[in-house]
Amino acid sequence: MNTSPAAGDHVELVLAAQGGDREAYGQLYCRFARAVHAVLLARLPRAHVDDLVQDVFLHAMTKLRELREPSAFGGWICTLARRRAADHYRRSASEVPMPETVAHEASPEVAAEAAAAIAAIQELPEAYRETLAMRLIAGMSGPEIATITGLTSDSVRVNLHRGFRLLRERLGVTS
Amino acid sequence: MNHQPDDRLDAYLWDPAAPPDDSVVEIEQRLMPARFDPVAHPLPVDPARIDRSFVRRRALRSRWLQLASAAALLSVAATGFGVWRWTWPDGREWNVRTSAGSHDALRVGATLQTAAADAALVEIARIGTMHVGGNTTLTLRSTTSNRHRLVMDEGTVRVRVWAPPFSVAFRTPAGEVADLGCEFDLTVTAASSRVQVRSGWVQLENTFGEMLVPAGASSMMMTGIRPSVPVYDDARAGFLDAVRAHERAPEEMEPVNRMIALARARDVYTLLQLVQRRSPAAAQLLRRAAQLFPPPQEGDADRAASGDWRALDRWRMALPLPSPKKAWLWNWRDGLPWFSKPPR
Repeated sequence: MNTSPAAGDHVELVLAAQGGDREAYGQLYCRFARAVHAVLLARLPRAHVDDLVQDVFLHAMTKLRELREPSAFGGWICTLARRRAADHYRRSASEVPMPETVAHEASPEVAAEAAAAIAAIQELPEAYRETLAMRLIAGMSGPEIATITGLTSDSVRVNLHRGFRLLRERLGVTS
Repeated sequence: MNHQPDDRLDAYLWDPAAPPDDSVVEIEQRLMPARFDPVAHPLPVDPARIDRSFVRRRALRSRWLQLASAAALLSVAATGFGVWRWTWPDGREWNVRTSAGSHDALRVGATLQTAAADAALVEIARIGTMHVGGNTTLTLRSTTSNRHRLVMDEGTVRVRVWAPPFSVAFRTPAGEVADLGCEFDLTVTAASSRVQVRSGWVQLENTFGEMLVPAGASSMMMTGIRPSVPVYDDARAGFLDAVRAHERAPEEMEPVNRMIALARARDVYTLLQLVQRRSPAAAQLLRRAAQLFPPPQEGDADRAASGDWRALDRWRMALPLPSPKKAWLWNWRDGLPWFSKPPR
C-alpha cells in the first residue's frame, strides 16, 4: 500500500472520494494520515493525537465536496488538522482517551525515549516543529513537506537544518 | 574547514533516500514508536458526524417510515418512559453480573476480561444487554445518553439494544461495528470481526468501506479490506462459499455460475450488493436478480447494469427488508422488561 503523500497522482482519488467512493477516501487516508499525524503531534500531547487524526479525516469527509482544487488536498487536510489542534484546547472532550494498554506500545524504555524526543520537538520554535515532525516522524522528504505545507523548498531546508541542530543539542545526540 | 558532515546531514534531512547521517538516524529511531500506521488505525466512522447523503444511506430512507418513527417517538416521549430509558449520565458505570453470580461495575476506561470458562451479563446503560462469552476482552470507552462506545480486542458477545441507530458501537481491530437497533452476535479476533444479526440491522465499517447487514444474515470484516457482503444464514449450501470466492477473485466465472444457480429471491440483496461493488459479472448477477425479484420499474435492471445507482437503490429499497429506524421502535415490546427474551 502506498502511504507517501507525494507518490502518484492523488487527484483521481480525491475526485472519486468526492463522488462518494469510500474506498478512494480510505486510500487518501492511508496516504495522508502520517502528515496529519505529524501536524497534530507537533502541537498536542501524544495521547490525544491518534484519535484526532481520525477526527480530522472524518470531519474532512463531510467537507470534501467543498474542496474545489483536488490537487490541493494535502495542504487542505493539514490546514484542517491545524485548526483541529487549535480547537482541541477550547473543547471539553467528552471521551476518555484510550488507555495506553489498549494501544500496542513499544517497551517502556523505548516509549520513554520516544516521548522525550517528541517533547523536545514540541519545545522547539514553532517554525521548526511541524517540518521536523513531518521529516523525522512521518518520514516525508523535503519536497513532500514543501508541497504539503506550501512552504518554499528553501524555507523547508532552513527549517530542517536549524531545527534539527537545536533538537540534536537538546537531546544530547552527538553529531 | 570541513563541510562534509553538514552536507551529508542536510542531504539526508532533505531526502531520506540519500546516504544516512548517524545523528538523524539515531533520532529517527527514537521517534519510530511514535510513527502513525494508518493500516493499524483504520478510519472509524462516527455516523453522527457524517453527512448521510455523502455516504449514501439512501437505501435506508423512507419518508413513510420516518413519519412512522416520528409519530412513535412522540408517543413514547409522551409517557416519559423513553426519556428515562435513553438518558444516561456521562460516564456512569455499567452494571455487570458474572457467571459466578457476583455483581461488579464496568467504568469508563476499564477493561472487562473473561477467562475461557467465564461469562458475564452487562447492562448497556438502560438500553440493552450484552452477554459476554469466555476469552473476551473489551473496554468501555465512553458512555453517555444515546452514545455508548466500546473497544473489543477479542472474544464473543451477544448484544441486544433497544435504542436509535448507532447508539452502541464497538471498535474492533478490523473496523467498527455499530448497532442500528437490533440484536446480534459479534465474534472478534485480532484479524477479523464476524457478525450474525438476529434482528434489525448492523453496520460494519472500516477505512475501505461499509456494509449494512440485515436480520438473518451474517458478514465478516477483516483488517485491510472492505467488509464482506452479507449472506443470509439460511442460504443454500454452497452459496456462501461462492459469494466469498467471488469477492476474493471477481474475474473468475465459476463462483458466479454457482451463485446464479444457488441464489433464491431472498439472496437478491446479496447479489445487488455485489453489483454495487462493481463486480465484473454485474450483468449476469443483475439478470439473475431480475428473474428472482424483478426491479420496481421496467428497465431498471439495464439502467443498473449501465451504472445508474439510482436504479439500483430503487431496486434495493423494494426488497422486503426491515428499516433500521422501524426495527428498533416497532419492536417496542423489546423495551419492556417483562418481554425481555432469555439468551439463546
